Amino acid sequence: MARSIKLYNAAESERVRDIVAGDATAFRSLVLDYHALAYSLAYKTLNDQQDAEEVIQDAFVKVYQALDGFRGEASLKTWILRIVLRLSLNRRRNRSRSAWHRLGLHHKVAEEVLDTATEATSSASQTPESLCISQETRQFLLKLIDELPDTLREVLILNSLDELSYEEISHILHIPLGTVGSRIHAARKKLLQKLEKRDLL
Amino acid sequence: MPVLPWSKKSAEIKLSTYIDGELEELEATALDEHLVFDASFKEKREAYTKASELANAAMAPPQIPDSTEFADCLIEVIGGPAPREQPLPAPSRKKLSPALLASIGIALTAGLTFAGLRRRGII
Repeated sequence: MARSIKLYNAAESERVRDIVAGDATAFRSLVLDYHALAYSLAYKTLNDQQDAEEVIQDAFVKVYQALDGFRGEASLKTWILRIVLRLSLNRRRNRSRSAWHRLGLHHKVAEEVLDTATEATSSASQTPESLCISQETRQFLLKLIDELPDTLREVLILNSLDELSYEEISHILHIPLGTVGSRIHAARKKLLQKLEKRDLL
Repeated sequence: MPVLPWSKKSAEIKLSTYIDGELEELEATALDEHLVFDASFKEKREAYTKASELANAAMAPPQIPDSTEFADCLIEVIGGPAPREQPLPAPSRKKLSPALLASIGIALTAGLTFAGLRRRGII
């Protein structure tokens, strides 16, 4: 029943060797494999399109620069996502110190970006689950998620990425498997309590 | 009604794990059986599932930028003769920092003052 984890293996090892040796095609293929997942993680952590794009740009450059030091203790996927998460959290922390965010102006901009995004006709692909709830409910939910303690919010975000198993989440966060389960439950419980108070269930 | 072999708190954590499809097969079977008889537990499962779905929908990016375009752009940036030395182009919204502008201003002022003083033979 448990989702399977793709561990570091011979194919990944070969891929890393090729990239380190300067094979741009191998690196391009790595980027193509993990870009969407990395972007989703950055976006969900930052709730801002431009911040997420900048973070994954930085993250993939870091991946490229650090690949020769990759020891293969985890899969490439969890290693890359750990870098993305760390950079996203740094950006989030720096951003929350700005007056702009302290005054809550980012919520207004986020709404405008979402409005524009819905109308956009670019080559980007729409995510189906993003269109199922009203703007008001979305903003309320995002505020609830934002108010969760960091440890619970991080695990909730990672668990929302379908491609990640509990085991992979435990590798990304460096926490035991059991802690992943208990934190996910705690996050859900907190959300549920607040949603019930607002009669949203 | 089949009794679950866990404390109430553990059972709720197991329920969350079950919702995510991460519970071991034996434990999942035990929960399946329990859910048939325990209406309040079943209600809880539905509430947790709904809360998760709402949270996931709220967090989902409205769109995912084109991966091919991103990869090509990135390769162009790092794919030069000395890729590891080459910095990324500055994001468009970033401007020169005030500190850098102030340094340039001070350097220009000092330079002009020095040149003026030299022309007048003061130094």
